[in-house]
Amino acid sequence: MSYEAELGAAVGAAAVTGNIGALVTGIGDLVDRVSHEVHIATATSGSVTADLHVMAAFYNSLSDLHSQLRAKMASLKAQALDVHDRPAAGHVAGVQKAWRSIAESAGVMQHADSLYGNLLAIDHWVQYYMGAVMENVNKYAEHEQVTIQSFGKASDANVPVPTRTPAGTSSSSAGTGSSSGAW
Amino acid sequence: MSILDDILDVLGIGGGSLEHIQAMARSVRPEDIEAMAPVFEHGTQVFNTGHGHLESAIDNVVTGWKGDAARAASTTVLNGAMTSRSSAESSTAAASNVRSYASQVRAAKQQILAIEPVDTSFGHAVQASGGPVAAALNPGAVAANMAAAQVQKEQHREQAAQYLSQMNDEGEQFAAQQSATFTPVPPAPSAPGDLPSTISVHSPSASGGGGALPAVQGPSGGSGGPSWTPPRSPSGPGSITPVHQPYHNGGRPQTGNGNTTGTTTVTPPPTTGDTTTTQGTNPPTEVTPTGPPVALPDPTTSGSGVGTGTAALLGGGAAAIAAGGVAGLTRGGWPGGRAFAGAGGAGAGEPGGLGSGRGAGGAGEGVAERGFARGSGFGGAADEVPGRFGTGAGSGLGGLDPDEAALRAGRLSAATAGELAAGERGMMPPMGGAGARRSDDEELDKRPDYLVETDDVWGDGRLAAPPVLG
Repeated sequence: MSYEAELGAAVGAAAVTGNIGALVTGIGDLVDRVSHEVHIATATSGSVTADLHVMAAFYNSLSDLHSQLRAKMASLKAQALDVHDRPAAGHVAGVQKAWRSIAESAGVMQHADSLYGNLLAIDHWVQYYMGAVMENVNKYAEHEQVTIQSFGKASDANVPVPTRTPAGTSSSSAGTGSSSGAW
Repeated sequence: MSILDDILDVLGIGGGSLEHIQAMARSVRPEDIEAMAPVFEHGTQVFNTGHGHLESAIDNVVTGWKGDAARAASTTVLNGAMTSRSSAESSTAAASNVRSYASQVRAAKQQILAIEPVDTSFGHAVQASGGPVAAALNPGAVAANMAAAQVQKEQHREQAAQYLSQMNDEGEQFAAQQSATFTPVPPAPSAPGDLPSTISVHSPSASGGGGALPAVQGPSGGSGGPSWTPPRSPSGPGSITPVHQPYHNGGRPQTGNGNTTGTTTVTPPPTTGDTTTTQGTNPPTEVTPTGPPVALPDPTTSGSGVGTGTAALLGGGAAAIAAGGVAGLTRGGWPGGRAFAGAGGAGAGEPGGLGSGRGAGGAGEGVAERGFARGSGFGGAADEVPGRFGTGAGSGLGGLDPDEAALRAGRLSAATAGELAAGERGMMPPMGGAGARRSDDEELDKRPDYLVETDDVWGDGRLAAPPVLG
């Protein structure tokens, strides 16, 4: 089955089942199997170098998004914790349960099925895209014998994200993506 | 025990009075619950920003990067954008749900607090019976009032408890609903941990041409480019109409061959058929070997008669040196090979050498691969009528682009070709420069016979006098 056919099948299956996760994972597997040399070998004059510039811009755009996401995640988490510190639920058990659910969905415990968890997962995908693009860039650059200059570290964008200790005191972590929820 | 007492026991307020229930209701702060809604709305903005950012990046990829990897990348990232969009919708729903729930809590709280307490005291019953005198005359009325007050108090408590129970139940339901608002996004495969923040492509050929590139030994054993002396051109001035390339150049901007400053211009779409035009239809019958210095041909003018033979002699036998010199140039200088092709044709214009004619054929063949149909024709003519070479050479001079600049400059000298190629390339965007280099690599792969012919023709040790550039 060709790449396009496999890709179409993956998209179609995910569309039918509504399983975005399966779609993303499936296509990610296909991407891993794409041979860069296929394109390089069939590229026309100058197109590979042109591709390199596009890919570099693509990478930088993803890196910029990664930085934005990290900053937003930190501010969102702090905002959620600040609101969650308020005794909004009072003494009614049901309201307390609802309030806990609201806080968890906002991500104060960094669960995967939360606002923060989704942001974190998407940021991880963005980093995965960056890694894939970087791999492509390196392949192309090696073929074209051009130099790729790197600046800074993408991990520098991992600003500390406030968390909760079990005792309820505030702390912060680098937000490594763990959903253990040390809160 | 009544049903109400059971409910209150479940709520943990068994035996609680209306005041107790109202106190519990007061402890709930729907405004603080609603304060969490902006968090989700903020999250919606972040997700939408991510979605838009990824889509924008995909647009750039689709319009630039080609190939299977590009398609896979754009498709995968598009799904990331879709996931972000889906999360944005979830976050919007969460914000809406929180606001809605806060409204429910606020309403229930107001209902509970709106219930008036009932005074069941004896004094209130006496007053309700008409005062102490009336109560003394009708003590049964006082007792009845007291009993009624107790019933009303219980009714009010029951009403408040129901509101509180409703608030509690709504909380339970909302908790279940809210916990299902966001679905986990599948974790991405692990990415390398040492990714840079930003990258840039550094093309050696686009660095302004400051650094010397490594020399490549020419196939004919010529000396290195930098030490090569430009050949003296024996021919007079002329004007040559540029030849538009009929091949696709990969979208690179082309360089007009009439501009010595290397200004990058956009070339009109290639025309079909024979696009070569040679100005000067009367081939010279006599060749002057010591003509004035050769100037760069101006494609915008149609001077009187570049003699075809004259054009052929541009560079003349100096192409022999060009062969070695060009080959000795660096990668960046390889377009000089093209220059040599033109020069080869020029050399063939001399009324002599069969070898020259073969050289012209080789040159024509090489140029033809780049789309110069005329070049092929002139190669064929070379073996028969040397006098026709001029026409062929003229047609081979119309190049555009850095490669064409080199071709054009080849009429002057191979060294000049290298300089022109380097100079024009220096003015080119990085992609163009590297693209030209790649095409040169393709030439190496595709045209080995070109080099073989070079050895055949110019490997006999003949050298021509170096020209002087004007």
